[in-house]
Amino acid sequence: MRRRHGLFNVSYKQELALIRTRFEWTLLVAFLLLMAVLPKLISLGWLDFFIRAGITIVVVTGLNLITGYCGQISMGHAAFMGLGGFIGAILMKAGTPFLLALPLAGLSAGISGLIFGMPALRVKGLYLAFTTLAAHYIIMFILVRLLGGTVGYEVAPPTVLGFKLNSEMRIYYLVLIMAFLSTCFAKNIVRGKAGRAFVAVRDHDIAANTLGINIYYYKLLVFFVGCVFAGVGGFLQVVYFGWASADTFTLWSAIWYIGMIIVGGMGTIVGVFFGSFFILGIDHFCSIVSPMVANAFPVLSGTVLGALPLLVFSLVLMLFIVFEPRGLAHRWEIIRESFRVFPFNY
Amino acid sequence: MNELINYLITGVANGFIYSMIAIGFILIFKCSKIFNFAQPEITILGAYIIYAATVQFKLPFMLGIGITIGLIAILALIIERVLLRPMIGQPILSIILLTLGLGSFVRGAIILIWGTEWLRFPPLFPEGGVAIGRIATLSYPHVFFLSMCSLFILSLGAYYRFSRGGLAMRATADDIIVAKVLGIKVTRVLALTWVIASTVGGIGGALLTSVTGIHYTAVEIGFKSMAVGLVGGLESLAGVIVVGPLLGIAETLIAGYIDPLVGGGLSEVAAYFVLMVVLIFRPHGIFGWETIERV
Repeated sequence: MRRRHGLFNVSYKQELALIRTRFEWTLLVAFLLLMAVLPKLISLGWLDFFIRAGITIVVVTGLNLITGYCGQISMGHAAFMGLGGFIGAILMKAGTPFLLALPLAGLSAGISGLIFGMPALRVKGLYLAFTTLAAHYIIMFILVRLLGGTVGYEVAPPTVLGFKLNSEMRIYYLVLIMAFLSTCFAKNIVRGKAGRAFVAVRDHDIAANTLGINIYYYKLLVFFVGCVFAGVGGFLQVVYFGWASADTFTLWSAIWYIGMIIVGGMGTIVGVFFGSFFILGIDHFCSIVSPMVANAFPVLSGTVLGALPLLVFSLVLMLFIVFEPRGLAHRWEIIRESFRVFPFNY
Repeated sequence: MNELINYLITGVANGFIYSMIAIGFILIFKCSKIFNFAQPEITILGAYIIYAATVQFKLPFMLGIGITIGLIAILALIIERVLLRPMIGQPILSIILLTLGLGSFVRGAIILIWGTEWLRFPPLFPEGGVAIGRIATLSYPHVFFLSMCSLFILSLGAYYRFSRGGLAMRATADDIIVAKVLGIKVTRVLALTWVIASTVGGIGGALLTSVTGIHYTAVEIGFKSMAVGLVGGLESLAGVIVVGPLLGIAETLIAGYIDPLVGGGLSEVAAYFVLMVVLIFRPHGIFGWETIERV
């Protein structure tokens, strides 16, 4: 993080500040105000887009902690989401208030993350990628067979502090608050002791171990925290859809989440925003374009709707890995830097 | 008793197909240290191509297999040359994600061309089977599976063990730089491993789906085969040949005896339970090599 020249930290409080300068405060407040008035400005279709983006940001922030910061691959993130969503839905059905069900949903997903993160103590790299894939199938089995998955549960609109979340606009504000909180939370984790340890484990876990970092503790910790995010996100999605069903948490969506952190930039908080909006934007764009393609090529009309997002997404993913592995966040840094030094950017 | 023997036979037949697919990507892994998460998609792509050849273009089945081998081999060559060769030596995370992206691309293409409905082969084999003594009959698909798989596995093993190309492959697997120094054309070896892996994968997928029908979610065959590879150990071809049938038997036994008790579905995830347990206690698989890492 570069600052204007001549701007020094003169107190410990300034060192600790997440947002340091008045300009950054202005930007943040302006951004939040814009987000707050957004539902008035856009159509219902775009509101749906922003709600889904907010939920995705919560989930992908967790995945970014696991994969981007700690270097552990999780292909089971959709399943962790599903578990959180299901536990939350069951709790709500039993009459638990929303504000209690939300942390419990996160906690249950976190505990399952601890259990399925356990192989991370012994294996890493591709073995770990595959054990999390196995975790996906096992959790889905549990959801479908033991928690009544494919039929699912209906979730009545919950009431939070007197507000009944029965319109999309109200859910939008809930999601906005959760996305904001999770971003702040993640930002604070990664600059603290735990975040430093995560990065050390990612860069070289044996070296980190010799430096006195308890890598087992931190690997489990990152799985726990990342899956709490996933559980909360999953529960939000269930509340938004009004229905908890195992069909909405697929392996492919887990792969899309991984693609989001690649495209956004692994190991950056701002990258989560870029990635989520970019990939969901692709999805949205494809849903607009595919009727045109279907008109132009009637042969493909039955299949193009399902296939086009996948094709474009995977192409974008592969291109990013080959040509810009540091993602959009890196581009963003370059652009910002060139503005900062504007007339003299050599 | 009869039932049990039938379960065992089905399990072994399916398991050999798992082994066959697993052998493919273990070859790739041994030679280039690339773990190919696109293998499941390539596997069902083989099934779809055979479907297109035999049902849509009405060619005989064996010719269809030939066409599949040809097309998949060309595809594998392109993938290896364009996508994966620049990635050798890159971080393992990028390689995994790249192959994942490749997999979803292939899946997207499959959905675009063939749609998302279940496609069924017309019955390829006559009813009934070969009687073994008086206790069991080996149905014709299983006879075909077993003979096909043993043919592929044996010829592959013979090639790997005895031929000059196999020797080059083993040398590359041992140490890629030393192999280069000794004058082995490593790039050609890598291309060959991709061709072999993809074609045996495609054939395996085609065999399995010729009985069950094809759907794009049949990629699970490929994922299960990868689980077989990991349980057996990524360094050991023999381990995979042993583990595949064992897993196949476990699946059919669970499907036959335990699934009715729990309401079904356990057989689908049995492979993953086994994988989790094995990897926790033996992180490198049952027959894999333990590698020592240094800073």
